[in-house]
Amino acid sequence: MSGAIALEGLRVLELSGLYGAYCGKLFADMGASVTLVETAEGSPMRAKAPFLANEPSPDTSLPFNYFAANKRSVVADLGTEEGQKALFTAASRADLLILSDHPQTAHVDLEALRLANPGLVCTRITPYGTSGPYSGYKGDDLTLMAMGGLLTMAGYPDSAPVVAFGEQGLLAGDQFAAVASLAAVLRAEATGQGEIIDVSIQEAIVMALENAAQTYQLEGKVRKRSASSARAGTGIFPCSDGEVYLLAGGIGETAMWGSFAKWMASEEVTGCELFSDPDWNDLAPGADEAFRAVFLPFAKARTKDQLYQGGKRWGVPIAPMSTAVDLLTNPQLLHRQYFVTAPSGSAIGPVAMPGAPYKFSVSPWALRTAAPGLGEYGNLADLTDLQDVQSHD
Amino acid sequence: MTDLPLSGVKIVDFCWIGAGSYTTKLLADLGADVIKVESSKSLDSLRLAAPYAGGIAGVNRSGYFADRNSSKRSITINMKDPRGVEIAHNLIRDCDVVANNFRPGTMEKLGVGFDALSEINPGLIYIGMSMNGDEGPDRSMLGYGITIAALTGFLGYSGYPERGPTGTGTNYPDHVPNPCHAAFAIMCALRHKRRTGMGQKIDMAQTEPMLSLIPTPVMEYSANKRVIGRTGNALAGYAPRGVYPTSGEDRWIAISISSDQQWRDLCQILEPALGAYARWGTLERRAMDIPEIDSLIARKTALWDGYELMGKLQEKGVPAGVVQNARDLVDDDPQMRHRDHWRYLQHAEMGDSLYNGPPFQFASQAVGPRFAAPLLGEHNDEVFSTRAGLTTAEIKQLQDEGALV
Repeated sequence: MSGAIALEGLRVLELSGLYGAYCGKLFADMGASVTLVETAEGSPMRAKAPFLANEPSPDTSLPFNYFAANKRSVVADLGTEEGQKALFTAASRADLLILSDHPQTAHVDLEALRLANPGLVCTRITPYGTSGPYSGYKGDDLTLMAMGGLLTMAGYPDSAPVVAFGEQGLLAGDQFAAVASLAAVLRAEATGQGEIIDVSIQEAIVMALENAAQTYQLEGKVRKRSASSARAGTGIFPCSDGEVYLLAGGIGETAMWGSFAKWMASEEVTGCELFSDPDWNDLAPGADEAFRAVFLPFAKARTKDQLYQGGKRWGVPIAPMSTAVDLLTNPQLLHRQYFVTAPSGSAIGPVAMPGAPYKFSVSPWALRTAAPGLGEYGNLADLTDLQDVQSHD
Repeated sequence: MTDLPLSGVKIVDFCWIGAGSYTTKLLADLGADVIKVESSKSLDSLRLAAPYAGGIAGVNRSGYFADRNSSKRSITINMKDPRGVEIAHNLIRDCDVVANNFRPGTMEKLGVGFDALSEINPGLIYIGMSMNGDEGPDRSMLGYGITIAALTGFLGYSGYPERGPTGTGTNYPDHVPNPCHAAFAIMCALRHKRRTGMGQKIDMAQTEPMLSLIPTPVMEYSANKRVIGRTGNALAGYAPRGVYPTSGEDRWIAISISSDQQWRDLCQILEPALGAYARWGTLERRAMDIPEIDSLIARKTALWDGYELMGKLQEKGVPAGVVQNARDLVDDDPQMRHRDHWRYLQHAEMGDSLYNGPPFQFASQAVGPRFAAPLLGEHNDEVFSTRAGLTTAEIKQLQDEGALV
């Protein structure tokens, strides 16, 4: 035991599809041995666009290469007796089994697997949970973001709600699944008691409703989408090389306006005395127009980064509306070496991808191996050990 | 009765506002003992954020604060007073985790930085969650969920291509990405500590979990030199995929079609005269005429009650979901009720008030908020006497002298 790997020795079986993979990734990147069990056709994630050079193949999906890095791949046909036997053998040696929309989910009996290995933690991720009136409902990210209540707050009041980028609802399910799974694993390691965990993606999305549920319960108000309604000094504003997001007043009743007023005064912006006026009210009729008349000429003469640096100096919440190019050249992210390249042996070559979401001083996040080829480690039945055959660096 | 998964884990929590408090709430609901260190001299501003019980503002009345602070105990310490700092040190001496989401340097100024604390507690796990992390040129930047959404590109990628970005309409990174990643990280460090006895420092920049959840734009640019734009509700592999009007005011249904069979079933239900839609039999063909298809669907769905249409479509295995709002979810959603999602907890000042239960259920036992959010300093006597060894008279004196306020 090197002592430098947080989840060293933890054996995880991942039976995932278009979701579930990020849950496994969180474990794999912290050092657990994660074995992705695929059908002979391959994980549905292998068919997920976009692809390297826009050429679909089982190894060129960019999302697959991101979500499956640090994992091993084995194949199994869980619909056969041999496949079932292999699954039971593997599960008897595992600490955690993650089951989501694997194509053969119907053939996985978590209760039976848990009986065979009482210390096993089984985590099941489904759109609405495994029982209840909607448990048979199908769901993708869009329909779940609708049913989970986040979609109703996104967009302009004059047109249909519009979903957030990147299938965040499915990823919310994965993240909460990882939190619950690791808590249960910690207890299982201490007591020998495993668990069966039932995660609802709809409910994971409900966790993101900010204050909407309490606003309804306590004040009887239903929050809706409001992208175009303006509190002065809050929103997206143009500048010389793109746009920035400004939150001049902060949130809650923390008045950040004082900081903003000082910044504008230090830059001698024409008309800025408005913001230090004790009667200034950012919700008053006409306040938005008055704000724009003063701020826009200043902003349009400066770059995103100049405005961001000004906000940093004066303690004003403002941020560039970054593009991918901005992110790859962002000095802060470069300093932290946040983006990493796909490991050697990767089918997509040295492509940049997100790196550590957190920095540990002793047992760090690490990208060790590239996403595996389909069945790179053979059949599930032939797997003798769930520990990684290669020793960790 | 089995212990909760995190029973016995002791956390001293300096977090405030959004993501930090949500992180420690997740751990507290799972059984960790979380002591929230507050001060009436410098309030957690979420205590002053709407909504309020009965619409009446007050430091113990915010529903937003309450939901982020269930299962925690609150104490008040004036960290500007050396006696307050010493008492904080006594609480930290035998705890497992210290958490904060201040800007870098603030904890050091208060006498509770990592170096000082790891001297008095070498096994301590210490997590800081500032916007940009502990190191780097922009480390001192002040951030909120929405500015993090902007900086990471998440806001800019979300919305209709022909209009400005819309994001989620919330401070999204505060509510899922950052709390979940921070809670997961803390538990990783707890496992490491159990195996090695070692504590450590975790530096989580709140921009970075969000970036880890949107890998495609950067990978697409790096691999294919393609800059992606906003695509509204469309997504590769689906056609059509959209949000369509139903009967009622501002009521909508989301429908996502990823197979030709789903398309045929959708047509069968919306327009029994299937012939008109036959030319769009394949996904590739449909993808070419999305605007026309969307407007045809919208014309039909507008005649339906959303829930009735959802039921009909789901019967056929077509993914469909009503765009539900908070009232629908709290009052009516039968699945939320079946899973006991909404919990009503008795709060000393707010009365019976609403909390989220967790989105996961454990087969062996119920998990979720154990008790309502604390009043400011509600647990002063209990914590200072049992955990810091102070007598009632000493506590009273230190309060009168402004050290424990």
